[in-house]
Amino acid sequence: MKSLRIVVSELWYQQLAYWRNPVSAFFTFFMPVMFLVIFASLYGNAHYDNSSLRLDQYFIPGIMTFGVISACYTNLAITLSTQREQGILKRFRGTPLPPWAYMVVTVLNSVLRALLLVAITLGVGVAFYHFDFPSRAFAPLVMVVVLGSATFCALGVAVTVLIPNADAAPAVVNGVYLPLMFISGTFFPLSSSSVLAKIALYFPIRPFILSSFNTLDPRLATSSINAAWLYNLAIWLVVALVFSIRRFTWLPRRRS
Amino acid sequence: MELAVSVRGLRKDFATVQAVKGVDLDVNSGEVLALLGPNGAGKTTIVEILEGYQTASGGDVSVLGLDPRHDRRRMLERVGIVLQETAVEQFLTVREVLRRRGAYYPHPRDADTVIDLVGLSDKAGARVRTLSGGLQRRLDLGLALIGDPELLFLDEPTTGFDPNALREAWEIVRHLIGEGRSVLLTTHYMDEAQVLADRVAVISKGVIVATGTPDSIGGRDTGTATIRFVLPEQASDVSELGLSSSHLTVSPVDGRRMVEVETGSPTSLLHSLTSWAMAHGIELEGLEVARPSLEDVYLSLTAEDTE
Repeated sequence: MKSLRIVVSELWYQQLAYWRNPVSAFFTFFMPVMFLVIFASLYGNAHYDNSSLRLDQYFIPGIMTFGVISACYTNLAITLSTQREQGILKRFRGTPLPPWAYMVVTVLNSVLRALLLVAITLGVGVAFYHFDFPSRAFAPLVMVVVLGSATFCALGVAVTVLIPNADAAPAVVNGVYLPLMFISGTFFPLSSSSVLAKIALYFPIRPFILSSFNTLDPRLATSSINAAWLYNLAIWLVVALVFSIRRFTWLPRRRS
Repeated sequence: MELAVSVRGLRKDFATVQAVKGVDLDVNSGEVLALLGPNGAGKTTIVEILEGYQTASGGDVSVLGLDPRHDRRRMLERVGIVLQETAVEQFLTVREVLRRRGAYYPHPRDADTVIDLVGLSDKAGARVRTLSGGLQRRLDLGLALIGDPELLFLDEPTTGFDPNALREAWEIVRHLIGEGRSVLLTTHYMDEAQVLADRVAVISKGVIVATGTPDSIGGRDTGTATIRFVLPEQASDVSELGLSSSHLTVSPVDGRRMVEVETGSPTSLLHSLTSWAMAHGIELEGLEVARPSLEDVYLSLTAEDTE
């Protein structure tokens, strides 16, 4: 009970601090919407893969995954490594707050932001770009988003181990993410026979995009997701989790 | 007496250096102990081992009767830590930051009481980012106190303060001491140790080289004293005064002859000196008796470190 109370209190104060920095909050939520507007005008009435499906049905789920990955992986990795180097994490370790509670709350905050971003992205799509959201897709989409959030949060924590100092954080985080983002077809569809697309299937981003796209595909009667994609996400989740538990550090790296 | 902190034969080896080489140290309950030493002497390493951030390479440590590594959580419920650097959530207010921290402790103090204690009453509703560095440091002290700790670790709490902020911080720390908490303070300021500590332990190159009260450490109270005066014109030579000391120097200063005598028995030496002066009806100009300052003692104890 005591632990639950600490988690709730900590969650409240972290949320409060987050929303009081409106510039940071604005850009987190504005960026995916901006991408959506840009790609929607670039693509106009283009169609997916020479089919009858409008391209919006592909890149709007793509931008949704981009939002989830920004909120979970990018945000968490940069926040945690900056806090580590500034000694904020060290200070928390000097109080009776259990380390797991701090980590759970920080991750929960990222997941909440990710869910809000999913709602905003799909909401703008439905409201302004005739995005077709089949009602049967709701439950499977929640499952995909929760699994994706968990995986990319775990990866965000894991990548802090590779970050030597706060200045290097954005370079390391984006250096890993951006190339994979492009070869995974986040903003435009890839031919599934291309070598890059095949390589991308071993990493977690493309399976996350394809799962989201398939779940929301209005041409399908049911939300069938390829189990291999979900296994991929689950394996990355476990690997990142184990790596994080073994290697994550709370104290600043020694400056020598 | 019950010990707040007990350290026996503590060693800490890093890859290339031995930072702590067999240290024994006690903080009695209700006592303020200052660990005084130059940068790199091992102060922070010792304190971080006691706080449970680092593991010892050898020896025994106990904090409030607990092992700082194995009983860390229980120890942290009863200990307040002020680290060298301040890092507080910038977008919360002073009161919010204290309430948030208070939620971690079994018996927290009231946030507003602590705010008064550290003199932040008019800033209680202000966001941390609007506070000056000195005020943030006070908040830092408040955060260390919110859990009503029995023992406080203050690691160089005033490094980088201007003289005004320094006096204010000492005032607050003295107030806390009045509440009967035990304190382990590290510092490289002599005057800070002098003002705040009941006892001082001087550390140099990973070894404690002296312990004692600020007034007696290093034989300050019993060692050599220095007596200075201007040799009166009536005396043609210092030998006329009949002072029995081998450490006597006469040096010309502004056309006058300045006498400096080092002695282990200043009372009898002063007696002969003043008897001579009284007998000749002379007022001795510039007469002073000086004990070595804490700084003199500290510099001689740590001389090898600063060469």
